[in-house]
Amino acid sequence: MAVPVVMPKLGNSVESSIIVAWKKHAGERVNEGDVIAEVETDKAVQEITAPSSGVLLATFYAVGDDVPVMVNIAAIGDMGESVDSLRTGNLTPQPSLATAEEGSLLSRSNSSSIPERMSESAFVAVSPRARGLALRRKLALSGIVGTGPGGRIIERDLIGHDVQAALERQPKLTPVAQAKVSGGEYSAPAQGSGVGGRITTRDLIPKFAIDTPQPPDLYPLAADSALQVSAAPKRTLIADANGAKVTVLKGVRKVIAARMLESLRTTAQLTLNSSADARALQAYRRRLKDSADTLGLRGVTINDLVMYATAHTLMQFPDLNAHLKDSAITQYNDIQLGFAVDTPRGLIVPVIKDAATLSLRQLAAAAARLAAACQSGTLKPDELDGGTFTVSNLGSLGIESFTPVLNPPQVGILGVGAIQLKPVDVDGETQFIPHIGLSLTIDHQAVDGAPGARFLQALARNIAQFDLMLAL
Amino acid sequence: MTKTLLIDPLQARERTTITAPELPVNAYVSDPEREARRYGADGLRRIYRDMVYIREFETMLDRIKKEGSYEGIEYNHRGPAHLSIGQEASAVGQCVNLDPDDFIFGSHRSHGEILAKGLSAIEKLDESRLTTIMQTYMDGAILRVVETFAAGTSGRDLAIDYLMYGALAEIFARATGFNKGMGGSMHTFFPPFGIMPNNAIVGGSADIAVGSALYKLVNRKPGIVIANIGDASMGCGPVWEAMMFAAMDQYHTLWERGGHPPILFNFMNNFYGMGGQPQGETMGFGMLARAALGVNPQAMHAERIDGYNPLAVADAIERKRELLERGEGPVMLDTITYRFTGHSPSDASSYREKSEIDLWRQQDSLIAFGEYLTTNAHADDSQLEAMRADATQRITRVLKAAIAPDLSPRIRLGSQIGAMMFSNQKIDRMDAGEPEALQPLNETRLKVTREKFRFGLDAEGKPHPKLKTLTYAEALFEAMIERFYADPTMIAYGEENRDWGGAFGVYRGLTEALPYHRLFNPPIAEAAIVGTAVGYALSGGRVVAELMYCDFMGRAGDEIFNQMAKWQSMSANVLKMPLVLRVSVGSKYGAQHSQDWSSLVAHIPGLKVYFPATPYDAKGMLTLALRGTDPVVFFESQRLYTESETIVAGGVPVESYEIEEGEPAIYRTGDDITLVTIGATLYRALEAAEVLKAKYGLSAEVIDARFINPLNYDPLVQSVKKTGRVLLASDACERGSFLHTMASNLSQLAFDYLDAPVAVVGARNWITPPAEMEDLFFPQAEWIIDTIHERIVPLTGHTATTEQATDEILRRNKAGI
Repeated sequence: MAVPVVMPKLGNSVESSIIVAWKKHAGERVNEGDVIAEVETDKAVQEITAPSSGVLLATFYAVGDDVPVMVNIAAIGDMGESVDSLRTGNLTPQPSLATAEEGSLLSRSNSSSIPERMSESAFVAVSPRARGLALRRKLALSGIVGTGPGGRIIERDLIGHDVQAALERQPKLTPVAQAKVSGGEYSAPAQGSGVGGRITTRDLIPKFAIDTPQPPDLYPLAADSALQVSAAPKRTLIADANGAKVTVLKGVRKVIAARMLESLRTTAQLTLNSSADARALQAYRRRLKDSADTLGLRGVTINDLVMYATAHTLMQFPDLNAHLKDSAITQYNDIQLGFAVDTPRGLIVPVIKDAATLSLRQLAAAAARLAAACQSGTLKPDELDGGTFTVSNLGSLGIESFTPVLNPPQVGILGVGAIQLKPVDVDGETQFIPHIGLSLTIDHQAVDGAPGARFLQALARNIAQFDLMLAL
Repeated sequence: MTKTLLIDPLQARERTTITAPELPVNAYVSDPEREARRYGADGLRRIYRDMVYIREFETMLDRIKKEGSYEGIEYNHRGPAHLSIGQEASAVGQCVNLDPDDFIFGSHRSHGEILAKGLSAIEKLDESRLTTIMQTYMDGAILRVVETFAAGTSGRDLAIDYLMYGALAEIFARATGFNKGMGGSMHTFFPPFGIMPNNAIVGGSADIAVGSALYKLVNRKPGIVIANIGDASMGCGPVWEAMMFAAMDQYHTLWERGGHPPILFNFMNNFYGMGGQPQGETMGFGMLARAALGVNPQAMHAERIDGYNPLAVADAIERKRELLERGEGPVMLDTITYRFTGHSPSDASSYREKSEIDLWRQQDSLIAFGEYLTTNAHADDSQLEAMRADATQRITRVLKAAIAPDLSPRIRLGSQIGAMMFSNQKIDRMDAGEPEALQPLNETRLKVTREKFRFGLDAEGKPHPKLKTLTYAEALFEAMIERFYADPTMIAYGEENRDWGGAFGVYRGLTEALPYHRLFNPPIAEAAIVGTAVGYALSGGRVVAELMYCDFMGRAGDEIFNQMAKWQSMSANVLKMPLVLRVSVGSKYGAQHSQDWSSLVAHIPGLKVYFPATPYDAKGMLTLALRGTDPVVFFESQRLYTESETIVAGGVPVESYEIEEGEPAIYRTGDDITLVTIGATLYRALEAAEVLKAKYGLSAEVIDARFINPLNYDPLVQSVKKTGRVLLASDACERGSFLHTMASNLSQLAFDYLDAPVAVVGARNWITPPAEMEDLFFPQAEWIIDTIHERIVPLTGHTATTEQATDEILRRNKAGI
């Protein structure tokens, strides 16, 4: 009996992972423990190892496929053994099912990172039979009025005359367009440019660039022309002509793209800019650099010091250490401090757990460990969860101030800029004092400008008196 | 009642007195010379030997239980072991004058009786017969094990090892035991030696043994039957019912086959029932034999005998057997004896004084009989010692083999146990020979029923005249009479079966066709009705017992749930149970006569449960049951006895036919909802289907499950896959109804096809009210429609008038109703 290789659940909130690479191929011998594939969750790449020795009989998915957890992705056994029973069904999402649309965005991300739009609608009961029918016939359930007991959507609600008529009125898709829509990467517009209003492949809207304007059509294609059969989107044809590099959004990039857009679209964010006297920071940093090696303090960075101050300041300002979700603000007593890490794959925000309970050395060590894990791709998905506030430092790149984007459902994020000299009036004399830039973005739905400013003011004061912070 | 026995009022009102015979107590007088002539020295020595074997066997088990070892062999026995140390003389003495054809049935304390009867049979069977028995029993599996360790290679010596090994392996739950380990200590038996089942239920063997004796009587088989039960069992209702059943006057006043069943009730009176003391504490008879005075004018020829003297017991058996063979039974023996060990290994004997035990030890029959032998020069001490040594050696080697995992493995496959629950065979006739009847088949009432309209409606759909149309009751009659004339062993009995023709007329016409011994009225003793049927069936005969109302099943609870259901599997299919128990579901007769108890029997493993709702099914399913070898509780509905077939085209066939076991019947096809029913509720569902179609445009598929166990869910699942909606209804009370098992299974099997949850409609969880208020209690067509409306799919324009919404489920369960 062939042994299945299962897509593992790589974290509490992980619903699916993308196959990034097959390290072994069908027909190859594998030993137990050999790496046979690499898969990627929203943040990290994991290796899948063979659960037993034998021949890799078949792989069920291709590179780039987004496979739900606990689904069989391959089978190992003896040459000639049947794997049919291990193959799972088609997992491509049905694009016109409203729930699936949202699902493909929601399923692979942290619950803390994207607001759940599903929560807006009340629970709708659907009978198993109706669900099955909806899946098979690619019918949308949203907007259907259920006539079963208690308002349950039942089979007849999907096959009534009105629904049939509505289906009739929908414009047709060409077979190739239908196939692309079924593939999950595209959705169909209301009308098409083909014969009789048919929707052709050039009419299709790629799912990952909803609001991006379409580039001009340099190579207008005749309806149903043979070129439509190609698998690439319209933009690729133009790009290929110029030799530019095209990367289809997937994996980390895809999720970042969606999250950032979502954040800007669904929050009322604005940024308050300030700066803090950096002398205490700099002095303390010098002392740390000169300290005995055995103390393990030499590696502590300015950012660590700023994070330390932020964590302790937040303890006095719980309204900044909060989540806005489902029309409710939840203030947390503990500080789960996320911080931005730039990696070749994109931005990753690991979380330092219980940051306000850590000593400076512990906090710095945690930050260093997490940052390294981000770079090597070995971060555990649970290390991305549960952040209550985020710090993003672009100071080392010379950025003076900026507008960091909120990490919903968090209501605040602190951007840290470069240390610059700022003229300050000291007893009538103008002195140039190094100041570190602080940019606080808040969600005005939850935090007003004044409270935000008060936090920022306190933070600046705490940073200026950094040595006193250490007593807390 | 019977017209031939006139109740004369003058005689009834005459002044007289009731006298009773005097009962002998310990009347046996030892006469060594006569005994020497009667039994011979060999015979007397064998009596001692057999007692020693039993003593040593039981001692071995006692040591194993209490110390975990015997003769250096260690073993942990986890099962029961009710030992009879001290009672050997009663067991061995009983079997001295018994033949292999005589049957003994036992109790939980019957190891000694098993060995005694086996040793007696081994002595009496010739060696070639012994060899054949050992080679054929379970295809020689036990013999092959015994041959690896037995000292003797053939004949009687081998057979003794075989007997002890088979019993011990059974006690140790081994697959090489007499019953493959399925029976254990309290149910070990071996029919080829006349050792019939023991029973863990106190007194359980009494009515079963009577049924076995009835079998011998009816089918002219040789031998007598002894029920070895304890003194405390005299408190049990079924034991009294068994004695009443065995003592019925009709055996000698009415039956053409004169004579009573050859049954001997032998009470092994060891003065204790577990810890209770019948004599002096829990019973009032003083001396147990007194109870016989209440049974019949002969007081069952009862005697109280000295069970500590094997020759006294042997003598009593010899005399009583002559009575039994003349048809003058039943007989009762009150055999006094005593056990030195406790009731069970956990018994600390807190209920008796050590001084009492010591008094009896001083009377130890082994010592006493040994002295008798030496005193009368039948053996010297060295010979006695040699016999004891032989017993130890024999039992040691049997023990070694019985615990060896490779020689004596246990069943480890659950599927093997499951496969033993039913025999699933078809046997047209349980024995050879001509079925006895009083008239040829074509002159019986069958010639009348055959001519009736087989289908209830004419070509225009109008009903035929009732008297000219075949009814449900007559369909059952046709099945019965056809089988009566095919199987010579088949008998039937139940209250009012003969003369009256059964309370609902099903047996009308059978009285004229059959002799008394094939159709008779038993006493109003439901436990004995079912228990004797169990004994008759396991002895090899086909029997139809009837309980007038299924509400009376409570009176036969143990017999239905613990005996009828379990003997096939407890015996590892050595026994079959071709027993059909006909019961009817009433209506309009109030709380204790109008219940559908099919769910109670559905729960008990080992029973098949059928419930036809149409005459076509009634005949076909009863025929199926009557040709099978498994116990069937056959439910009929009193609402339907006078109804004719109106669904199956062509009506009820004249010839004999069977319905395929477990197959539900689709009695109306439809696409929108599946209605599944059990019993007479079928007709109300059909009514509801008409209304659903006419008023709401919903086409219902109506399926009669007709079988409760076994049941093929396939057609039901196919229907639900088609319609997406299913409602189950029957007249059984909703709580604990078998319909919920069906609903749960359908949910599992057809979940993705369901458009609504599975709904169950049953009778209210109340007593059945009087006829005038029955429509508040039993499911009505309106309840079905309202339930569909509330829980499955709202019906346009319908307003529910009965309470079927889901919040009712919460409310009723909270209130316990």
